[in-house]
Amino acid sequence: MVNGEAGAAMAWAIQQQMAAGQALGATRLRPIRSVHAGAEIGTMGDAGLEHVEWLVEQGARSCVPTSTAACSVDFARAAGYGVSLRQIEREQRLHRALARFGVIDVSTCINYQTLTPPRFGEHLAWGDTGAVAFANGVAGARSNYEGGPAALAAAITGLAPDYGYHQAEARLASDVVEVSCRLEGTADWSALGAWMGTQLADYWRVPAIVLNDGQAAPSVDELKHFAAAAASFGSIAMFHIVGVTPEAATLDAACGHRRRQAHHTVTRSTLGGLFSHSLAVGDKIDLVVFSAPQLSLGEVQMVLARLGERSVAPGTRLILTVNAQVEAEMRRLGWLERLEQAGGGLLTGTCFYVMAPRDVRRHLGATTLLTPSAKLVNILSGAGYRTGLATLDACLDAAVSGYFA
Amino acid sequence: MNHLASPRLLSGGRGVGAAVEGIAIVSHQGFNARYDLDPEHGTFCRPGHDLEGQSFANRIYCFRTPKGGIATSWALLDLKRRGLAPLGLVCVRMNPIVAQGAALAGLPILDGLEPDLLEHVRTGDAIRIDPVQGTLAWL
Repeated sequence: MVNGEAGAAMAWAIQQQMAAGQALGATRLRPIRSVHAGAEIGTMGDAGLEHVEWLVEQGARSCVPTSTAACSVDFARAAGYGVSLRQIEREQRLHRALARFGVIDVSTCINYQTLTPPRFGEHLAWGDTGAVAFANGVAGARSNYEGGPAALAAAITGLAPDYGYHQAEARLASDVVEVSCRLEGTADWSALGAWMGTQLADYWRVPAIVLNDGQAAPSVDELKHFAAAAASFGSIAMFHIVGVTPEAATLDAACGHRRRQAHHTVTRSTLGGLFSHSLAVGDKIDLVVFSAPQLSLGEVQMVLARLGERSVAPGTRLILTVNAQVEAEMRRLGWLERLEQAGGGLLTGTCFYVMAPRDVRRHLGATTLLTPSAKLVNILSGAGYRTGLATLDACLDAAVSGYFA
Repeated sequence: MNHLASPRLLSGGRGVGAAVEGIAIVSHQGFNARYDLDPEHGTFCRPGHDLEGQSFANRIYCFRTPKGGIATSWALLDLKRRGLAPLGLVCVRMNPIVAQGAALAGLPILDGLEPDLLEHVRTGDAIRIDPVQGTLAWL
C-alpha cells in the first residue's frame, strides 16, 4: 500500500503513519474504532486546505466513524465578530471536502459528551487533545494524540501506530499528585489541570491524583475541564484519579510497577496562583467567555441559573461557545432566548480561541477577558488579550457589573 | 555553564527525517504553533516567551517540549509553504503532535539526546542533526 497500489491517498496515509510512528517508537499499526479529526483553517492555512482537497480528489474516504473537532468559524455569526470573508470562504471549502471524505461534521471538542462516549478498552485515533485526555483518563479508552493530518490518515487506513497509550505499560502512573484542598466547580478543576500540566509538561508522564478526604467525586463537566487544561498546559494525555477513574481503584493499581518520578502536593495557595492574572480589581471587563471546551447542556443550564434575572452590563459581552447539538436544544428549551434577553450570546461549532481571536479582539475593540477556563487563559495571552481565570460566579458578577471585583 | 566541558556530539536520540545542517535557535520553553506564533509572520508573539519577536525560519529549532493542542500538526506545513518553517526540530521530549506535523511538512525531527540538549546548544551555534543516527553535532 505504501507504494501506491491502493491509490495515492492510501500511500500518503501509510507513509505518514509509518514516519510519525517511527519517531515515537511504534513498530506496527493497529485497528482503531473511531477518529476525531481536528481540521480548521486558522492553523492549517492554504497548504493544509489544499492537502485535504487533494486527498479527497484522490478518492480518500474515511473507513471508520470520523467526527470533526471545533472549526474556526461560526458560519451564522462570524461576520459580526470581524472574521474575514477569506477565512469564512476557505473554512466552507474545507467542510465541503470533509463532507466528501465522509465525516460526521459535528465541529465539536466534546464529542464524548454529545456524539458518543468512548468505551473502556476501545482503541481510538482522536485528535482534540483534551478529548484524548478525557477518553484515556475518564473512560479508559486508548488513544494517542492524533493531530489533524494523523487523524485523517487513521480515518483512511482504519489503523493507528501502536505505541504509547494504546499499551497498558504506558498508562501506569509516573507521578503522584496529592490534593490537600477542596475543589469546587469547573474553574478549580481547570486550575488543577493547568498546574499539573505545568509541573509535568511531558506527554509520556501520567499523574495519579489523590483527592482530599471528603472531596466530592468530580462531575463529567469538571473532569472535562481538568482534562482540557492538563492537555493544554502540559501535553498530558492520560491521568488517573484514585477511586474515580477506571484504572485507579487504588493508588497501587494506578501506579503498578512503574517507577515514580515525583510526588506533588497541591494546596489552595498553589491553585490560587492560577487565579492571579493580568487583570486588577476594578478593571473594566470587555469579555466574559465560557469556552474551551464547548459547554454541555448541563453547564449552560448552570450559567443561566446563576445569572438569574440579571442582565449583562452595557459595554461588556457574555459569550458561551457550544456545538450545534447543544444550540438546537437551547432553542427548543427556550434557553437561547433567555440568554439573549439577558444580553448574552452564543458562538457555535467553534471555540473562542479557534475563531480568529486576533481579528475578533480588534473588531470588538476588546482587551480584557474573564473566564473559568484555564485553557482559554493559556492560549489567549499570545493573541493580545489581558486574561483572568475566575469562578463561574465571579465571571457572571463581572459580566453583570462590567468590572472585575 | 562550563563551556570547556561541552561535548561536540549529542547522541542516543530518536527521530525521523533526513539529516540537515544549519544555525540553531534555542528556546527553553514549550511550544505550540497556535499559542506562541503570530500566524501571519511566523514570529514568536507570546508575551514573555524567550524568543518573543524572533522567527525560527530556516534555523534548526531546539526547544524543551511541545505543549498541548493539535495546531502544530497542521501549522508546520503551511509555515514551510510560506518560507517560515524551521529546517528541522530538536526537542528534549517530543509528543505525537509535533512528530505528525514534522512528518506532514517533511521536516526532520529528533528528541531524547544525551547529554541534555538545552544545557549545551546555544542560539547561533552551527549544528548538524541526523535523526536516523540520533545525533546532533557541532560544525
